[in-house]
Amino acid sequence: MSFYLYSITEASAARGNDWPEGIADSHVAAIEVGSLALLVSEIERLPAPVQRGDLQQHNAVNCALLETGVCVPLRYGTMAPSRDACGAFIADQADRWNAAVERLRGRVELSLKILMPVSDARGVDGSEDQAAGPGAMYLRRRRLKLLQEQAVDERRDALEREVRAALSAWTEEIVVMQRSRLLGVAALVAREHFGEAERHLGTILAHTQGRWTLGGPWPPYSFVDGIPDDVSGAARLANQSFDITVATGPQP
Amino acid sequence: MDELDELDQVDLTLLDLVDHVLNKGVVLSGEATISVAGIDLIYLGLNVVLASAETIEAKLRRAEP
Repeated sequence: MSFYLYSITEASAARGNDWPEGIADSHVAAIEVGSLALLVSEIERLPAPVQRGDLQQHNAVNCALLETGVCVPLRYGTMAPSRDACGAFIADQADRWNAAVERLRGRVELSLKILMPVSDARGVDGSEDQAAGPGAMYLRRRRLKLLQEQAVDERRDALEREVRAALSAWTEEIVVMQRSRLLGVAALVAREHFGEAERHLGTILAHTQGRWTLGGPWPPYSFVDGIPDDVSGAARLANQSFDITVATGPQP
Repeated sequence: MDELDELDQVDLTLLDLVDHVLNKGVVLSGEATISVAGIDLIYLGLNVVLASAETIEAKLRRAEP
């Protein structure tokens, strides 16, 4: 059996809790090392292929922890070969984990993802002149596409500025991801301000074109990158790369 | 339809879940690389099926010097 790792927390937050079912419907328990604890499950191996439910179970455990204390979430798929390895994982880097706990204490993640619609390009006639040759038509289509992309970039940048300004009352810790029509924003906010920040952002998004999802409180997955990951080799990432196949039918 | 048009089909809720749980969080001993034919995972969200552990282990063995 191996140990699947969910998150790091304070030992006091991990005691006496009924955790939801973990990966592969496994029992979740805490391994305490000094003032810290590691939430784990004993499983034979990672579920394969991984389903949405597996990811949800990983996150559900971390969300449950977030209700009782600090959550320093680990990425899905982190496993350790033994209980001793779990203990070493915590003990060997106790200073780093304690620093992470202090940094994230009382704070949660607000997450926004916006998919902007394809923009109407200005000044370009999208209709095709049937008298034009194929080369001209290709260039016209290409120019239209470039202008559309430029318009999307401009709107996305403007929206990012608007979102940053809206969140500035609650945090300066914001992580932004921009990729074509997709804008992702993660903000680290104090738990007691989460509702207010979410509502305020929601009023801005109500007038935004496109589709969006705004939610949380998430465990602060987006704000652990600054925590050094050169920890002891006792714990290892079970899967170092994934090739994703997008199924075209219903999920199994 | 190119990959950017496929964004219109994306389940944003699933995308958000995958982005958090698979793309972020503390990583041990190296990075998790997630892609589909060179396209970042963040592009795609619906009906993802991850490679089995056996496939990953085989890849790691092939990558070893």
